[in-house]
Amino acid sequence: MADNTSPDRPPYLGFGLGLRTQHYSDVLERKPPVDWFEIISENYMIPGGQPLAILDRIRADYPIVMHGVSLSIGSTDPLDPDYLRDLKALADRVEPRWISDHLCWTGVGGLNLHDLLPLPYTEEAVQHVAERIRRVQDYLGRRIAIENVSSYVTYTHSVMSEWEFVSAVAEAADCWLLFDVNNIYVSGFNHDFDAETFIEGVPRERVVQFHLAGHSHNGSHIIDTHDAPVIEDVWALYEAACRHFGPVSTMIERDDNIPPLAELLAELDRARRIAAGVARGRAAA
Amino acid sequence: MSDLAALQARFQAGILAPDNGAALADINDSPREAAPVLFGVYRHAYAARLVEVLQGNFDKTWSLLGDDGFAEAARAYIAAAPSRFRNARWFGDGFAAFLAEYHAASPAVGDVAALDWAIAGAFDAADEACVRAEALAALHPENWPGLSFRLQAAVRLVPVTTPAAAIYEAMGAGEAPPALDPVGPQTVLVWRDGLTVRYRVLEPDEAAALAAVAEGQPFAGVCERIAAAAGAETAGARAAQLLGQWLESRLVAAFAVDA
Repeated sequence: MADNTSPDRPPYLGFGLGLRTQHYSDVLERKPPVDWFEIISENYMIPGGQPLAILDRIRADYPIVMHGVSLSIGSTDPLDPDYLRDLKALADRVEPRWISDHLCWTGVGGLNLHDLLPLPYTEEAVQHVAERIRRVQDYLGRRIAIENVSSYVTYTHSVMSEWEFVSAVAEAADCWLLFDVNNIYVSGFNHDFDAETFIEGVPRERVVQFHLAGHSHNGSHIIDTHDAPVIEDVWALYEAACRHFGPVSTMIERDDNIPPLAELLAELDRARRIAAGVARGRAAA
Repeated sequence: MSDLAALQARFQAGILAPDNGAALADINDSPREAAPVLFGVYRHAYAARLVEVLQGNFDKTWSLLGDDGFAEAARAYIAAAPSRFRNARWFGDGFAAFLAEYHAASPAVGDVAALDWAIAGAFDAADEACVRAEALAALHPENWPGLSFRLQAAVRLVPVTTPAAAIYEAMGAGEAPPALDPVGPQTVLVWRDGLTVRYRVLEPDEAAALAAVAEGQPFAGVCERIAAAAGAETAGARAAQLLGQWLESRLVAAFAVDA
């Protein structure tokens, strides 16, 4: 079973950023103080050319983690063998420290809606998703990390909480968890649950990565837009997550309205300070 | 069908067809909002995300049509051809052909879109080695008629009827486009020199010759195409000149001598 002492447990990498094209030249020329970069796998699941050439250069200087958006692990369509082949080929090239995707589905009937659609929290879904994660892990020859998504709806069919669902899938699949702190805040607001209960509800030893991001507040609901700085409440939740989980590789995800790299580095410094403060508190206790 | 499969089918149908309300029975109201509004987040995001994907791959077409015109055409394409691609990178594969019909009265739109797509395809096409002129210089003259070539994976021959390359250029420079009227059949060559994508409008004989190369015709066949397009007397010399240009531009990935 995967736990804190598993020999294949992904290493603690420190503080990273999502790699975005807008920052390519800054990263290549200035080698900014970022401990690691996360790439969107699909952006590099292409035959060749500049994106892969740049990635190879950045890979020479920084650890890389691969984060996918199209595995569709929760779909009732068959797993896509071509997608898995391309994902494995990219992993062979990049040698990422770990590979992640989302606990969601993206389409059925051969169609792809290119969105992270929520699953019902049922026993059937737990078994279905866990069995598919195991098959993907067998194919890739490594455990993957699965991320909790932001959601805007809940299903009448659900029989458990989201954290119970995430935990049951992770235990049944024996996989890692990518814990998105912002998504917990977003879904907690949208579905009126206590985000700290979520933090305490998932298996601590399986969490290998944190995501931090901004969102858009629409009054009655929050949308996970990744187009703004991390808000104060999410920073507070991050501190709570650091207290509960201990040191976990942390990164900031910005996908739209991309600011200069310096702004993201400043946000990342705040994450470092929060994590360091929690670590000092632990040491003193 | 399992409960999960049935639920996913209803949810997806509700996103693809806004009139289909079956998914709403599966969804709770939240403490602050009604289910139809919350489900609407997914409906809205679906089309918005794919319009954005198309904007990324067809930015000159977007400039030509403007925000509203592009979004309208993109939404029509999204409705007509829902994505079957796992990677959104390839979703635009049929968009140029769709636009050629959707904007049939203005063929420049489909032409510029075809050029956008060809340039996007060349940008991340497979990396390949290229044949150098010296490698061919060593061949015995009697091997030349049966010599065939394989073009680089990044090479695209884009047939157009309008001044698509000039329009593309103007859109890139933020200038007003030249007249969009048809000018007769032309071929735009798109290729990649190292990591840099290039394009140029071909003379008719070069277009015919490169089309022959792309079909796998031997050099003798290529010369025949040039002769048909530009006259038999100069075909041999012209073929040699063109081949020299293609090699210099790194268009040729491999060659074979017909045994």
